[in-house]
Amino acid sequence: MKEEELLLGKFGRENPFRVPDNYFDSFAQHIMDTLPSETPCMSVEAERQSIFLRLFKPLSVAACACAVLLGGIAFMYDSKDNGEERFASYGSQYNNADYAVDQMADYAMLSNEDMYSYLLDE
Amino acid sequence: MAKYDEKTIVSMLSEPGNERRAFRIIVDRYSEPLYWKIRHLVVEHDDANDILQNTFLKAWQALGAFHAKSKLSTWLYRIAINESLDFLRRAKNRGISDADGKMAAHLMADDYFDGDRAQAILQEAIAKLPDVQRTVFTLRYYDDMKYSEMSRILNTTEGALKASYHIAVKKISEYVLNHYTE
Repeated sequence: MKEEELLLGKFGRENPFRVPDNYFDSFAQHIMDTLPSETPCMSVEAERQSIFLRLFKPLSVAACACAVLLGGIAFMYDSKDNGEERFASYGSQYNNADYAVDQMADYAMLSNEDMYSYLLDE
Repeated sequence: MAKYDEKTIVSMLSEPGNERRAFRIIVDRYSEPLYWKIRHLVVEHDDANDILQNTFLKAWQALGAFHAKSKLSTWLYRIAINESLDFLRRAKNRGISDADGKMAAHLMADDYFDGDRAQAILQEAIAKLPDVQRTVFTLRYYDDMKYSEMSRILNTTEGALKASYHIAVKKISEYVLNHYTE
């Protein structure tokens, strides 16, 4: 850019500002002296949870797929040609599939919030 | 600590009892680079000093929200620049600006300004830019910061940053040509 070259040619990247003597030498101690006494810890739980989620991501995906598959198989196995019975059994099979997912989630120690975060992370 | 290792520092930040030691290392490492980024935006040393202190105080208070998903430097620069922009906005709201074009004269009389009149005019030109353009210009011109890093700090696309810098350079060049004759 021609204008930038003109500016650099005239001024360079020279820093025209300066600081009081020993400013940076004493700054760090001054800051540490003024920090509040409470020590906010970095989010260890968030770190641990994210590591936990990363480790169990493939496992939970596989577990979900298995639960859905088992639920579907169970539904198809139990369903009869009778439409009324199919509708009647659908509710209980749906509940069984839900139950299977809940069991998987409990086993993997995943809360709903963990699963939502995992999904949002994608 | 002989060599700064960000992973180790971040790990120390999450260990009860080690947070202050880790934070001291961060302050030692980043206070000067942060200060100059702030100073190029706000010009006055006293203002830059206040903002720098606020930056580290906010960083300390917000440690719980830092999940190490970005680099420490990116996180700190973001806080510093936001603090600087807030300061500039408050100053404008209080009616403090360089509308009368006397910044150059003020700088020449400033104990913490070592430049000549040309440099003072340049700072005056920079101060007349809109805040975001000013930020982009100072980060690129004085720190030679890559657009990719700037994009992470300012949460703006690289294309927008390049356009902003281009416009800022043109404005500054025109201002300097119109207000300074050798």
